[in-house]
Amino acid sequence: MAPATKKFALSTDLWAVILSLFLALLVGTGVIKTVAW
Amino acid sequence: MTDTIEQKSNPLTLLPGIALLFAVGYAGKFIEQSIARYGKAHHQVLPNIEYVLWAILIGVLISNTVGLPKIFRAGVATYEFWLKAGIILLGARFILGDILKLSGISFVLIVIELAMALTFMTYLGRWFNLRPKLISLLAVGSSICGVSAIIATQGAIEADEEDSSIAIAAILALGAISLVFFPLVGHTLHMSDHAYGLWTGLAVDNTAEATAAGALYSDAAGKYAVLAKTCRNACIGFVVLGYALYWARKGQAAAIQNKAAFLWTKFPKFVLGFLFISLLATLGTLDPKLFPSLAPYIHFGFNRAQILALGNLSRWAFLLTFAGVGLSTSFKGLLKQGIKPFAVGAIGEIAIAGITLVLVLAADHYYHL
Repeated sequence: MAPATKKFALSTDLWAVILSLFLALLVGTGVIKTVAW
Repeated sequence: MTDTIEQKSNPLTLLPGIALLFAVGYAGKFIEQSIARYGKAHHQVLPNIEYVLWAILIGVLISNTVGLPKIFRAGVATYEFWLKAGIILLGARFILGDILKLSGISFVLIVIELAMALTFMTYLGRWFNLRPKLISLLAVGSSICGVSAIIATQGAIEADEEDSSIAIAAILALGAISLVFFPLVGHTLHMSDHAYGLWTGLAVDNTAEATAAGALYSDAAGKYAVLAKTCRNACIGFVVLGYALYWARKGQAAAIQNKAAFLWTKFPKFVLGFLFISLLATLGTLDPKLFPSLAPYIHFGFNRAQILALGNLSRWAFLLTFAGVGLSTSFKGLLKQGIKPFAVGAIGEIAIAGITLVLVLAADHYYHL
């Protein structure tokens, strides 16, 4: 579990940052206008 | 977890599990809305049970009855990823000034909590004759931030995999219990959303469970729980570094060459994403008349409609997370860990929950949180 999980844990962090910033960019540029909840 | 790594090379293998997370989470939301609609149509006042509880219950029911088929496991394990994405996007719902104010109070309480929890868990572990490195892992897991802290420390102090598995199982078992216990105490004491959220963020160890326990109380409490927990997560590097230096001095772990690089490696990067999104949200809401020097940059920030959209995206990410918490909770797995580490974890957690509750109630009394 150790080395593989460590790698995964780190990349999870970075992938989450990448996805969130991408979504924020889409919202900020008006590509996504509204999101229903 | 190893399945996740093996299948990470092919992202398509994640899809069934992610679809299941969505189905379970959405079923929870559907049940919440159906109950509310029924109550409205029949003019009855029914208790508003948040979708969070339904999603977790459905997940727990599936994983502990029919079990989670292998095809879904890799995708379900991505719930930590959705949690972090949800936290980063939640940054849009915080103004930087609030973060500074709240995290200031949170940091003072976190330092007290860390010192007390680390000391208490260490003595408790020794009293129960646990292996020294298992004590370190349990102390880190219960004082700072659950599973990711244990994994980070395991590598740094070269602990056995068995020890880290036991510590992780204990922390997860206690996290599951806290989902029931914390909202009950919060409602009994009529705690404000703010005070309850702060308490949950300080006392519940794993970030997913802390977020869920907060959201079970109210949307606002969930928001504050995430902020307090994120502050706690930001301290992970320092605590892991402390333990790594301790075990290196004893000659039972590799020496640390570059402390700054070590801290950066252990620092949870999603915290930076959270602050960045919050910065953009703050920028967009500034009044150019009050901040003339920042006026040329205000259009780079998010407006109110965009903040709402980002906040809702964060809610969708948390919906997948809460479904994942339920689907990953296996009572059989939790019982396998042995009674001693669980007892140390449980006694420690109850003590930490009690101490942090007193701290939060005192802070609420003096600073009106």
